[in-house]
Amino acid sequence: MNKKRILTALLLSSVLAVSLSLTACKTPRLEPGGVYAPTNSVGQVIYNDIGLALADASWKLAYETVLGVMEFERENRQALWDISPDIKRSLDSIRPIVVDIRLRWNQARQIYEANPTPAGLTTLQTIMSEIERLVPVVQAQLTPAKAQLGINPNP
Amino acid sequence: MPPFIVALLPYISLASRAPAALADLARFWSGVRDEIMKWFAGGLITLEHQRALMDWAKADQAAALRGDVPVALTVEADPVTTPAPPV
Repeated sequence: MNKKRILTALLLSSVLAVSLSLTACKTPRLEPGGVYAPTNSVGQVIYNDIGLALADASWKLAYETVLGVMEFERENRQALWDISPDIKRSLDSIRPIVVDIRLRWNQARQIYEANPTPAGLTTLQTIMSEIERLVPVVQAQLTPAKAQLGINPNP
Repeated sequence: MPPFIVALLPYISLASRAPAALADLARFWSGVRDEIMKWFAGGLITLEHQRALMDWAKADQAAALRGDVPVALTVEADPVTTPAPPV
Protein backbone atom coordinates (compact mmCIF):
# COMPACT_ATOMS: atom_id res chain seq x y z
CA MET A 1 0.00 0.00 0.00
CA ASN A 2 2.83 2.34 0.93
CA LYS A 3 4.60 1.60 -2.33
CA LYS A 4 1.41 2.39 -4.25
CA ARG A 5 1.05 5.77 -2.52
CA ILE A 6 4.67 6.68 -3.20
CA LEU A 7 4.31 5.71 -6.86
CA THR A 8 1.06 7.68 -7.16
CA ALA A 9 2.65 10.75 -5.59
CA LEU A 10 5.66 10.46 -7.90
CA LEU A 11 3.45 10.08 -10.95
CA LEU A 12 1.27 13.07 -10.02
CA SER A 13 4.27 15.32 -9.30
CA SER A 14 5.94 14.38 -12.59
CA VAL A 15 2.70 15.11 -14.48
CA LEU A 16 2.51 18.49 -12.72
CA ALA A 17 6.16 19.28 -13.50
CA VAL A 18 5.75 18.38 -17.18
CA SER A 19 2.52 20.37 -17.57
CA LEU A 20 4.02 23.41 -15.86
CA SER A 21 7.17 23.29 -17.96
CA LEU A 22 5.11 23.04 -21.13
CA THR A 23 2.93 26.00 -20.19
CA ALA A 24 4.79 28.33 -17.84
CA CYS A 25 8.31 28.22 -19.26
CA LYS A 26 7.54 29.59 -22.73
CA THR A 27 9.53 31.90 -24.98
CA PRO A 28 8.59 35.52 -24.29
CA ARG A 29 6.05 36.88 -26.75
CA LEU A 30 4.03 40.06 -27.04
CA GLU A 31 0.29 40.23 -26.59
CA PRO A 32 -1.03 41.72 -29.87
CA GLY A 33 -2.39 45.23 -29.56
CA GLY A 34 0.24 46.41 -27.10
CA VAL A 35 2.59 49.33 -27.65
CA TYR A 36 5.35 47.00 -28.86
CA ALA A 37 2.97 45.06 -31.15
CA PRO A 38 0.29 47.51 -32.31
CA THR A 39 -2.64 46.37 -34.41
CA ASN A 40 -4.61 48.12 -37.15
CA SER A 41 -8.36 48.72 -37.21
CA VAL A 42 -9.05 45.12 -38.25
CA GLY A 43 -6.83 43.63 -35.55
CA GLN A 44 -3.81 42.73 -37.71
CA VAL A 45 -0.45 43.24 -36.06
CA ILE A 46 1.36 46.12 -37.82
CA TYR A 47 4.75 45.22 -36.38
CA ASN A 48 6.04 43.10 -33.52
CA ASP A 49 9.10 44.56 -31.82
CA ILE A 50 9.89 41.84 -29.29
CA GLY A 51 13.57 42.81 -29.59
CA LEU A 52 12.95 46.32 -28.25
CA ALA A 53 10.57 45.03 -25.57
CA LEU A 54 13.16 42.57 -24.25
CA ALA A 55 15.92 45.18 -24.51
CA ASP A 56 13.84 47.70 -22.55
CA ALA A 57 12.97 45.10 -19.90
CA SER A 58 16.61 43.99 -19.52
CA TRP A 59 17.86 47.58 -19.43
CA LYS A 60 15.29 48.56 -16.79
CA LEU A 61 16.29 45.64 -14.58
CA ALA A 62 20.04 46.25 -14.82
CA TYR A 63 19.84 50.04 -14.55
CA GLU A 64 17.47 50.00 -11.58
CA THR A 65 19.69 47.46 -9.81
CA VAL A 66 22.73 49.71 -10.21
CA LEU A 67 20.72 52.80 -9.27
CA GLY A 68 19.39 50.99 -6.21
CA VAL A 69 22.90 50.34 -4.92
CA MET A 70 23.87 53.98 -5.54
CA GLU A 71 20.75 55.21 -3.74
CA PHE A 72 21.40 52.86 -0.83
CA GLU A 73 24.94 54.19 -0.47
CA ARG A 74 23.71 57.80 -0.63
CA GLU A 75 20.96 57.24 1.94
CA ASN A 76 23.33 55.46 4.34
CA ARG A 77 26.44 57.42 3.47
CA GLN A 78 27.67 58.29 6.94
CA ALA A 79 27.23 54.76 8.27
CA LEU A 80 28.94 53.20 5.25
CA TRP A 81 31.71 55.81 5.42
CA ASP A 82 32.40 54.79 9.02
CA ILE A 83 32.65 51.17 7.89
CA SER A 84 34.94 51.94 4.97
CA PRO A 85 35.54 55.19 3.02
CA ASP A 86 36.42 53.04 0.01
CA ILE A 87 32.74 52.14 -0.50
CA LYS A 88 31.81 55.70 -1.47
CA ARG A 89 35.07 56.25 -3.34
CA SER A 90 34.61 53.08 -5.41
CA LEU A 91 31.01 53.92 -6.26
CA ASP A 92 31.99 57.53 -7.06
CA SER A 93 34.36 56.20 -9.72
CA ILE A 94 31.47 54.21 -11.23
CA ARG A 95 28.82 56.96 -11.11
CA PRO A 96 30.04 58.93 -14.16
CA ILE A 97 30.33 55.67 -16.10
CA VAL A 98 26.66 54.84 -15.40
CA VAL A 99 25.63 58.37 -16.43
CA ASP A 100 27.53 57.98 -19.70
CA ILE A 101 26.06 54.52 -20.42
CA ARG A 102 22.55 55.79 -19.66
CA LEU A 103 22.94 58.72 -22.06
CA ARG A 104 24.33 56.54 -24.86
CA TRP A 105 21.58 53.94 -24.29
CA ASN A 106 18.83 56.55 -24.60
CA GLN A 107 20.43 58.17 -27.65
CA ALA A 108 20.68 54.77 -29.34
CA ARG A 109 17.10 53.96 -28.35
CA GLN A 110 15.86 57.21 -29.86
CA ILE A 111 17.68 56.41 -33.11
CA TYR A 112 16.28 52.87 -33.12
CA GLU A 113 12.70 54.05 -32.52
CA ALA A 114 12.99 56.49 -35.46
CA ASN A 115 14.47 53.82 -37.71
CA PRO A 116 14.29 50.24 -36.41
CA THR A 117 17.08 48.16 -37.90
CA PRO A 118 18.91 45.00 -36.78
CA ALA A 119 22.11 47.05 -36.51
CA GLY A 120 20.33 49.53 -34.22
CA LEU A 121 19.11 46.70 -32.02
CA THR A 122 22.64 45.28 -31.86
CA THR A 123 23.90 48.69 -30.71
CA LEU A 124 21.29 48.71 -27.94
CA GLN A 125 22.28 45.21 -26.86
CA THR A 126 25.98 46.16 -26.83
CA ILE A 127 25.32 49.18 -24.60
CA MET A 128 23.07 47.09 -22.37
CA SER A 129 25.85 44.55 -21.86
CA GLU A 130 28.01 47.37 -20.46
CA ILE A 131 25.57 48.10 -17.66
CA GLU A 132 24.90 44.42 -17.05
CA ARG A 133 28.64 43.98 -16.40
CA LEU A 134 28.45 46.77 -13.80
CA VAL A 135 25.72 45.07 -11.76
CA PRO A 136 27.99 42.58 -9.90
CA VAL A 137 30.72 45.25 -9.66
CA VAL A 138 28.52 47.76 -7.78
CA GLN A 139 27.01 45.03 -5.62
CA ALA A 140 30.52 43.90 -4.66
CA GLN A 141 31.33 47.39 -3.34
CA LEU A 142 28.89 46.74 -0.49
CA THR A 143 30.76 43.59 0.58
CA PRO A 144 32.80 45.37 3.33
CA ALA A 145 29.53 46.70 4.76
CA LYS A 146 27.94 43.27 4.70
CA ALA A 147 30.99 41.75 6.42
CA GLN A 148 30.86 44.42 9.11
CA LEU A 149 27.18 43.74 9.69
CA GLY A 150 27.77 39.99 9.81
CA ILE A 151 25.93 39.32 6.55
CA ASN A 152 27.58 36.61 4.45
CA PRO A 153 28.06 38.18 0.99
CA ASN A 154 28.41 34.69 -0.55
CA PRO A 155 25.60 32.58 0.96
CA MET B 1 -41.71 30.49 18.67
CA PRO B 2 -42.28 27.20 16.87
CA PRO B 3 -39.42 24.74 17.53
CA PHE B 4 -38.61 24.34 13.84
CA ILE B 5 -37.99 28.09 13.58
CA VAL B 6 -35.63 27.90 16.55
CA ALA B 7 -33.83 25.01 14.90
CA LEU B 8 -33.51 27.00 11.71
CA LEU B 9 -32.22 30.21 13.36
CA PRO B 10 -28.49 29.42 13.00
CA TYR B 11 -29.01 28.69 9.30
CA ILE B 12 -31.03 31.86 8.80
CA SER B 13 -28.23 34.00 10.33
CA LEU B 14 -25.70 32.15 8.16
CA ALA B 15 -27.82 32.75 5.08
CA SER B 16 -27.96 36.50 5.86
CA ARG B 17 -24.14 36.57 5.80
CA ALA B 18 -24.04 34.43 2.68
CA PRO B 19 -23.95 37.24 0.07
CA ALA B 20 -20.82 38.75 1.68
CA ALA B 21 -19.29 35.31 2.09
CA LEU B 22 -20.12 34.41 -1.50
CA ALA B 23 -18.56 37.68 -2.70
CA ASP B 24 -15.40 36.87 -0.74
CA LEU B 25 -15.37 33.38 -2.19
CA ALA B 26 -15.83 34.73 -5.72
CA ARG B 27 -12.95 37.16 -5.20
CA PHE B 28 -10.76 34.36 -3.85
CA TRP B 29 -11.44 32.05 -6.78
CA SER B 30 -11.05 34.80 -9.35
CA GLY B 31 -7.66 35.51 -7.80
CA VAL B 32 -6.79 31.81 -8.06
CA ARG B 33 -8.02 31.79 -11.65
CA ASP B 34 -5.85 34.84 -12.48
CA GLU B 35 -2.78 33.16 -11.01
CA ILE B 36 -3.49 29.98 -13.00
CA MET B 37 -3.95 32.03 -16.19
CA LYS B 38 -0.62 33.74 -15.54
CA TRP B 39 1.03 30.34 -15.37
CA PHE B 40 -0.60 29.17 -18.58
CA ALA B 41 0.15 32.48 -20.27
CA GLY B 42 3.79 31.55 -19.81
CA GLY B 43 6.04 34.15 -21.38
CA LEU B 44 3.24 36.43 -22.62
CA ILE B 45 4.06 40.12 -22.16
CA THR B 46 0.62 41.56 -21.53
CA LEU B 47 -0.79 44.86 -22.77
CA GLU B 48 -0.49 46.39 -19.31
CA HIS B 49 3.12 45.28 -18.92
CA GLN B 50 3.99 46.62 -22.37
CA ARG B 51 2.40 49.98 -21.55
CA ALA B 52 4.15 50.25 -18.16
CA LEU B 53 7.52 49.32 -19.68
CA MET B 54 7.17 51.77 -22.57
CA ASP B 55 6.06 54.58 -20.25
CA TRP B 56 9.08 53.99 -18.03
CA ALA B 57 11.44 53.81 -21.02
CA LYS B 58 10.04 57.01 -22.54
CA ALA B 59 10.26 58.90 -19.25
CA ASP B 60 13.86 57.81 -18.67
CA GLN B 61 14.75 58.62 -22.29
CA ALA B 62 13.30 62.13 -22.05
CA ALA B 63 15.08 62.80 -18.76
CA ALA B 64 18.43 61.47 -20.01
CA LEU B 65 18.30 63.44 -23.27
CA ARG B 66 17.40 66.61 -21.31
CA GLY B 67 20.50 66.09 -19.19
CA ASP B 68 18.69 65.22 -15.99
CA VAL B 69 20.84 62.97 -13.85
CA PRO B 70 19.43 61.18 -10.77
CA VAL B 71 20.97 62.64 -7.65
CA ALA B 72 22.18 59.16 -6.64
CA LEU B 73 24.41 59.17 -9.73
CA THR B 74 26.06 62.51 -8.93
CA VAL B 75 29.43 62.60 -7.20
CA GLU B 76 28.99 64.46 -3.93
CA ALA B 77 31.43 65.60 -1.26
CA ASP B 78 32.73 63.09 1.25
CA PRO B 79 31.03 63.08 4.65
CA VAL B 80 32.69 65.15 7.33
CA THR B 81 34.16 62.95 9.99
CA THR B 82 34.21 64.56 13.40
CA PRO B 83 37.35 63.48 15.23
CA ALA B 84 36.86 61.82 18.60
CA PRO B 85 37.36 64.20 21.56
CA PRO B 86 40.64 63.85 23.43
CA VAL B 87 40.50 61.62 26.48
